Formats: sequence, C-alpha cells, structure tokens
Amino acid sequence: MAALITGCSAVKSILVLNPAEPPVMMRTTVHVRAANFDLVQILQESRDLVAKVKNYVPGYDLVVEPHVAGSGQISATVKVLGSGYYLPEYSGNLDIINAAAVETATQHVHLSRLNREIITT
Amino acid sequence: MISFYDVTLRDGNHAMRHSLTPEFVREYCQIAEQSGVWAVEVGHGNGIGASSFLVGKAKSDDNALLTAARDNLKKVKLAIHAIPGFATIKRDIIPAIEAGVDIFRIGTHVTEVTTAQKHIEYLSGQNQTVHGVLMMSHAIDLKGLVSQAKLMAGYGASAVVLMDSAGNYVPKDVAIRVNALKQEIRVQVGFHAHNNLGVGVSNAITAIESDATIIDGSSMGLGAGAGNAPLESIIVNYRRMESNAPSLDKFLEMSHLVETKCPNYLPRTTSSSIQSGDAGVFSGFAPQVKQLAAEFGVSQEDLWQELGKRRLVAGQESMIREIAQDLMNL
Repeated sequence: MAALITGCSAVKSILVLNPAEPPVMMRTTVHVRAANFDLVQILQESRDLVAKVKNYVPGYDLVVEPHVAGSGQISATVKVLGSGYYLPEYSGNLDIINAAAVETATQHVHLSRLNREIITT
Repeated sequence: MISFYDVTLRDGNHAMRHSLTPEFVREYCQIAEQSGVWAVEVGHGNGIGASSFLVGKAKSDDNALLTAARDNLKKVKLAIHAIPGFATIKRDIIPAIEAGVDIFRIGTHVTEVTTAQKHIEYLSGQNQTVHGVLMMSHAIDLKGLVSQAKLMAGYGASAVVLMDSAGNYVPKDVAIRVNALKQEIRVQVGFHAHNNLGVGVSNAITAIESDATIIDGSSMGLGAGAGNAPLESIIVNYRRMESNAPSLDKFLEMSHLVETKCPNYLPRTTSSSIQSGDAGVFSGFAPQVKQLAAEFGVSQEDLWQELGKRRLVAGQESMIREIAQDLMNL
C-alpha cells in the first residue's frame, strides 16, 4: 500500500515513541533515495503542499526543509501541533486525522451541493 | 555460572556503520564456537528489521548474516535483538525463527515495555526462548525499572537484560539496579555495558558480583559509541573470580580477528563519548552528532547536552539535525 501511494519501489515506516516531559511534538521525517532529483522543485512543491495543508491543519509545519543528506538522499521533517481542543497539543498525529476527516466531509458536502445544482439546473 | 553473551556481530555493526558481511560472520563464529561463549548475537546494530535510511542501511541483509552464523554455530546459541517499531513479527521474527535462531531478545526504551507485549507473547507462545531488554535503562527511577521488568516477565520473557545504552552508569548504579531486579523478579537478569565513561568492564564485573547471570560484551569492545565492555577483558577478570571460568585463548583470538579485520572501526572512550555518557544520550548517535556539529558549526558538547535535555530515545536520529539547526539559530 505504501509503495502504491508513494510510487517508490521499497518503503519502510518506523515508529518511535518518546516518553519525554515536556512532551515531544508529533513529527514525521521522510528520507527518500532517488537516482535523479531537482532540489529546487522539491523545495517549492513541499512549501506549496505545507501551505495547502495549513488551511485545515493550522499547526502543520515544515521544521527541516528538504535537503540533501548523503549521496542521492533527500530528507525533510514536518511537525504537527494539535489544536488542543480535546487532546493535548503534542498529539498532532491524532489531531491531523480529525482535521483531515473534517476537511473530507466539507469537500464532500461542497461537491454534493455542486452536483445538486448541476442536476436541478 | 555466568552465560557470556557476545554482541560483537550486532552492537559491533553500529561501529562498522552496518557494513558487516556474511564472510566476517562465518570467520568469527568458527572461533566463537570453540570459545565457551554462551550465545552470539547477529544482525543490524538496531536489531533485525532496522536497516533503513534513518538508522543506517545495512550492507548485508539479516537473513544472509543469520544463515552464515547458523552454519557455523552448533554448541553456541544464535541470538538476535529486535526492537518493536523496527522489527515486525511477520516480516522479521517469523523468518528469524525459520533461520534457526535460538534466543530472541526483544528490546524497548525502558519506559515503553508495553510495545513489546505482542512480540514477547508471540515468541513465548511458539515455545521460543525470549528475553526482554530494557534499553536506556538509566532513564527511569528504580521503582519504574522494576515495574517495567515485571511486565516483561509477565509477557513470558525468561530473562530481563538491563542495557546501559548511553554508557551512563558507574559501578554503584549497576549494583543498585541489578540487586533490585534480583529481589523483585524471578527470571534471569542480564547486563549490557557501554564504555562511554571508561568503566564498562568494572560495570560488567559489578553486575556479576550482584548475581546477574547473563553478561554482555564484545570482542575489542566493538559496539556503538565508545563501544561495549571488551569480552576478553571481562573474561580475564572473571578468571580471577571463578575457578571454572572459560579459558582466554579463543576470546583473544576473536579480539585479534576484530582488530585486524576492522582497524578503522575500533571504538574508544573519547571526550565526546564522556559527554554523551554523562548527558545520558544513546551512544549510537555519535556519527550523526559528529557530522552535524561540524555542518552547523556548533560544539559536540552543546549538542550532546541538548539531546540529553530533550531526552531523545534510540531511533530519533532524525531529530539531531533539527536540534543542531535550533542551536545554530540561538
């Protein structure tokens, strides 16, 4: 599934739990190895995507921008600060799932209204 | 009688930047088989299934290393280290059972033992020998340590091993912890030293004097950070304590093999290792700390201190760059 989503031939996900106090904010680091890449384009696309996600997850941030980390390897880190309504702010991993669900529902409603308008007119 | 547990071909893989080959495993195991060591642990530095860009891509896959070891170990047990979060039951543990591994060590950060429940229960249900490993064992109080060890025993681990992953202990810390575990749990207790402060061998000997029965070491101390307690040094000390201790020759032969085959990887206690040990940070971070301190123009000492303050756990290699970046921007 992960290979299907990313288009990479091999994918590994690693889970790290840290019991530190004060709590560590939810973060994800992606390391990619590629034969060829355009770092300028990757930087631009990453910033655009982060700006887009920020619309529905305000605490979503690129804390380490895409950079070359070793030969043919690009790495970047995002941090997710939760909204802190029901869950603590550090649990951005849970918050982003809720935010994505709300955003999906909003778009779904928006599209079905659009469809109704198309059908009725 | 003490069971000496050789981590050269696993922890040593950290020092070798995960470049261990089946040829070296074969050559090493042929001597180990004759040495009187109880078990040889093989695999990626962070255990089987951990090869990745995050903690280091292994040159040889786990199965090739395990097969090379299995073919050359008969009396001596073949062991693996596995950390839930890296290693999964289906992808890593089951193939290791099929490869003929005798001892399965399941390790977690000392406060996160519940993440090992599935792995330990699965293996114990398959009638495999499974041990629990408390990594970064300095990073908890004594009461917490005992309760986490009890959880592991409750899941079915027949031994609990204390890992001094940061090389933070001095001998009295070891005595206090091993004694507490011996009093509170019924399973075997093991101890795994790192030599960051230069007291790895003393710590291992203190663990023996405190009645730990499984003692880890590696030839020439080949292991993460400042390395482990050198196995040959533990043995020569133990020979002064115990009349039927193993003889020294094969241990020296193994250390000689490591010295000649891996001259560029031999660990030692350095100012950086003392800083990391004292700050209680995982030894395996040393290569990244050295590189990123240079890249961002910050001192290694400041970086180790900050990693200690943020209480990083093994596997958080990706945070070192972010923290180095923060220090540079202070």
